[in-house]
Amino acid sequence: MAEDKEILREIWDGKIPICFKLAENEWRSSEPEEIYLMVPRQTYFPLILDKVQKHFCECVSQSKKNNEIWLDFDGLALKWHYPVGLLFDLYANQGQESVSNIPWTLNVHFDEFPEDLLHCGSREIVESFFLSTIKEADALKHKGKIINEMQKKDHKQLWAGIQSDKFDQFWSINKKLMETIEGEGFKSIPFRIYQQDKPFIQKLFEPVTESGRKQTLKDLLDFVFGEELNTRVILIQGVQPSLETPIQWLSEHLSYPDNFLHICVK
Amino acid sequence: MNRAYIVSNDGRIFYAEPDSNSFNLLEYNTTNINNVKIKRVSSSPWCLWSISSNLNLYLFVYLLDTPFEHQEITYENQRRYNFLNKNSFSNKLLPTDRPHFSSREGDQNLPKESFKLPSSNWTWKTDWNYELNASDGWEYAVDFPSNYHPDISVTSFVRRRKWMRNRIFTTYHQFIKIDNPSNKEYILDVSIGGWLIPFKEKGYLSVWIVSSAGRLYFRKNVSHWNPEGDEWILIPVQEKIEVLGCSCSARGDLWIITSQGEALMRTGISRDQPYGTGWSTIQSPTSIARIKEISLGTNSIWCLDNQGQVFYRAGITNKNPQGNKWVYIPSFMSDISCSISDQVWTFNLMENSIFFRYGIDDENLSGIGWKTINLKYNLNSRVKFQEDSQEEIKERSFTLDTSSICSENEPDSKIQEKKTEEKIVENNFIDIEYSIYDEDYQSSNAKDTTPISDSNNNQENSSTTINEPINLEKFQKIKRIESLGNYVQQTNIELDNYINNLIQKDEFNNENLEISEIKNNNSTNSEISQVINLSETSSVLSEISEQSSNSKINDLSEMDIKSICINSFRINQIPAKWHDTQGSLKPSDSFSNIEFKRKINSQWRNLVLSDLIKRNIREFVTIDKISVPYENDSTWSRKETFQILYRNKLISCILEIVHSSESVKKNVIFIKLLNKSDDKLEQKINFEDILVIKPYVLESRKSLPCFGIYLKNSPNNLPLIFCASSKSQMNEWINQISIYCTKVNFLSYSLNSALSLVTNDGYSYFFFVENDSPIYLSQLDGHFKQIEKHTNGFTYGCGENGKFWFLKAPNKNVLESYKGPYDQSDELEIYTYENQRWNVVASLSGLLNSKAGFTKLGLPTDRYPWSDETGKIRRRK
Repeated sequence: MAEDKEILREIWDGKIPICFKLAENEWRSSEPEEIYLMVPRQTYFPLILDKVQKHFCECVSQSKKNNEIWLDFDGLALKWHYPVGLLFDLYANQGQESVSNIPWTLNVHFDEFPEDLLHCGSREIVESFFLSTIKEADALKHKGKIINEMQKKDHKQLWAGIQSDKFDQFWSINKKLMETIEGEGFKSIPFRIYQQDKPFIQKLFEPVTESGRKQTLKDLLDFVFGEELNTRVILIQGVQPSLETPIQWLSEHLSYPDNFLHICVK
Repeated sequence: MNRAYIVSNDGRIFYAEPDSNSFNLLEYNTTNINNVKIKRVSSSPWCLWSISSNLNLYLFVYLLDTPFEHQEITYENQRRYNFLNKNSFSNKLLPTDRPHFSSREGDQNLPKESFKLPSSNWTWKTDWNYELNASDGWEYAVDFPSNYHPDISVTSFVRRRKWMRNRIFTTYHQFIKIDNPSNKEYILDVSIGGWLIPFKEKGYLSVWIVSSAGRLYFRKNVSHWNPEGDEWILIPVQEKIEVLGCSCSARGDLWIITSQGEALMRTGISRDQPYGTGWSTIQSPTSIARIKEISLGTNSIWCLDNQGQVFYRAGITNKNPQGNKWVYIPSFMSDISCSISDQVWTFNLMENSIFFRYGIDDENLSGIGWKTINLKYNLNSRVKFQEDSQEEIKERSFTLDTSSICSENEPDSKIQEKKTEEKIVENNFIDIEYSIYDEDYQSSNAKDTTPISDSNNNQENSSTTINEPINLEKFQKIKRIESLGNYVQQTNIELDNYINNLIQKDEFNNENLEISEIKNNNSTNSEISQVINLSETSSVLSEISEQSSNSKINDLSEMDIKSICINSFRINQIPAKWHDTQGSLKPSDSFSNIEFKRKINSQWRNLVLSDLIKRNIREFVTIDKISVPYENDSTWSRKETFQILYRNKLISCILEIVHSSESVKKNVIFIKLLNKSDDKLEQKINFEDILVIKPYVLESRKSLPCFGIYLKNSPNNLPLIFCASSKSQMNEWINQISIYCTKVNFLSYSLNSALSLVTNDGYSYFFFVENDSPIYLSQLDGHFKQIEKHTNGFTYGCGENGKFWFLKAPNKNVLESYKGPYDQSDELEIYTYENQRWNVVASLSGLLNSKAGFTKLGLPTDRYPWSDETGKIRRRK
């Protein structure tokens, strides 16, 4: 059970100040003024880009102003279906002590939508993507029992909580997804390990060994990488947890709203 | 033990139970004391305290379901000096250590031999034993006091073992002599009560006696685990006043009568002060009347003057335990006794008959008239009387109980005599005592009245009187009084709905709101303070049923805020964010409608937390305000199905909270009744109109998770009662609604106009005041001894556990931005002890420095450099 509200609250409250600039090649005349937004780490870019689109649409050529916008950081196109915090940790976070990329400056594009990027026509697409990820996570955790027993309104509430950044609204439902039988963990931990320039890694990993020992973050990394991990930096939700942290606890508390523990390895 | 007692003039006690129609002789074992002649008796659910004819005091204990049992505990401590041998523990401890056998805290020396049976009425049930674990009951630690582990390790230098021994009380159904306060003093009067003092532990009893020297004594520590009590405490009364008699009610109130015939009321009686603090003089009924006898019910007090005139004290409520005035009841009596249900019984020596007052109901506690119980007795002491009165003892309603005596109108409900051939002994009754305790008395008795009396008649062949059908008219009006706030409400209840209506009587679940502390920094609100002060003396409210299930008393969720029935009171939930000295939020942070219980306090957890806080500071807290990407334009609503109590039936309904983004003021609750008939009802509730929302216990279906919403303008202060499908759903909704109520109210009122108070059970509340009347009362989380508000907007509280808390002013701004991390620097710590040890090495190396010698580097077994007073808990500056 995710019971440590203090942690959950801090996670939920995480925000990244982002400076949106219009990509240079799309200026119609002079450089338009950039726009700053404080973006929750747990949200997705399509949910917050309305304002950005409105801000810049008059600055680009008329034919493109209704195009779907996309973002890049240092030339890397950002996948909208990753949570904002994950994208920041993966590409821009220079480690725990660094403030070098704060605020995070992103280029906004109206043109030349990258081919390898998924299109996102509307919020509904994000919602269905989000829910399918949650379902996948619950399939790993509880064989999908809990999410399938929920009513549609619960699903709606989860989504509404993210859309409007409402902790209580989200967690009053999400806590059910984090339930475990007392003393036991999830069936397996829904996690994904991200490295730059590589596809993410996702494997089946049980939080408790057959002998009853609680697996830690170190066990997980050893399981995935073997010995090669020595000097890498691990970032989850922008922090570096101790390698001794039980993986079950991490999954309950440091997962993103999609119920996955997104781990960045740099 | 729901019994009425009478004492015959030959010193025997007779009792009657509610469902019997005869008085039976109270049998007792005569093993230790033969033939005690009793003169006077005072009763509680589990024991009697009585005075014998030679003016000694005797205790009589009923054997209820299980014998009273008490566990003695001592801790055996050992230390290890041999660093190599892990198992060489010695009974010899260091001079700075605790004794070999000690209390848990180590501050008392408690060798096993020091435990003696308190009296011959106890016996050991077991020998000394300890809890079995892998290591013979031992728990290991580095040092006292420290964290104990069940497993031995290299660093285990001390160990302790918990020894337990149980003793049980064995002397039941016997008269046990209790020592008099002194050799020269005899006992004139005894009165027991107090088992319904709110929040008092189950089994507590207040025992008061009046000695022949005119002194008043209180028996210390009388309870289930110590039925005999410890010793007498002399309670000083005003100078030169001799006490003649006393009477104590179930909720602990005490009135005494003096030799001048005056009545005095004990003030300040509470859970913590069961024998009170001061006296308050009550004006005599008339200028010449001298009170001779007094008896306390629950909301009524009756007294007799020296001529036998009967007076009734009117206007007694929880808030006004003194009452307003004496009312003369034209009659002459010799003795009087009032039950917990306010039923009064009297005895007239001249006529040698017992009367009871009929017509006592919630509205008219003084009743209508006296009804004789004709008692005829036979040699085998079987006293028969037919009492058709079905006294319903309203469960949980303690303010009053209906005690409707329905068959009063029947003529000739006479006593049946069985064996006329036996010689009739005329007994003079010299004392009566009537008590009703048992809540098992089902209200359904009301319906069963007729069959019962019929069967009674059938059983008695010699019955000469035929009972007329019970006059059911009486039931058609059951009137209720809200005892609190003098708020009277009446409800006409159809007999058919009688049972259903008992549900609503749950109204009477009362909570003691004795205000022990009122602090107000805002001088303009002084008038309010007075208003509140009126209730300061209000003592006791509780629930009758608590006597059987006292565990509830400590149960937070069971508490009702029913004592707030004054219309001008407004109650709401406050968003209180309490920090303790460790800086952590209480788990039951009232901001949230989600329950988060356990907190793991390990290193990795704290690392994650501190990193997250740092992350947030690094990433956005220090950065100037940048707007949030989306307008908060989402109106979300929450809709779930409940059952609502509507016309005494539970009907399905839909509750919907519509959350408006424009303004919290536009948030509303919709209630839609899903009625089978066509009259679909829909009601809108504004959060501003909500007075209280709280869990609610339905009388008939106690297990149902219900909550009540009290509206400010509702007629009769009746709540809307909703029944949720689960306890968690109930809690979620209560919290959700409370949060909105709070937000709405905080728009209009600031904490600067708030008063705070602590009830004597440790609950704390905030008031908001407007136009000199409290408009908004909200409960804070936690239990507090005292809270005080400072003009700087902070509120400080001293917790029951001695910890210090403070409340950030939940003003409008904080409320809106409470999501942000609270600055840790705002935490305040008090009571931090710095511990240092004198260290040889350090003193040598610091010869030049005269102060050297004490160093922060303690031994590994020492306390933390900074600790709390006991050294157990680590503290930091």
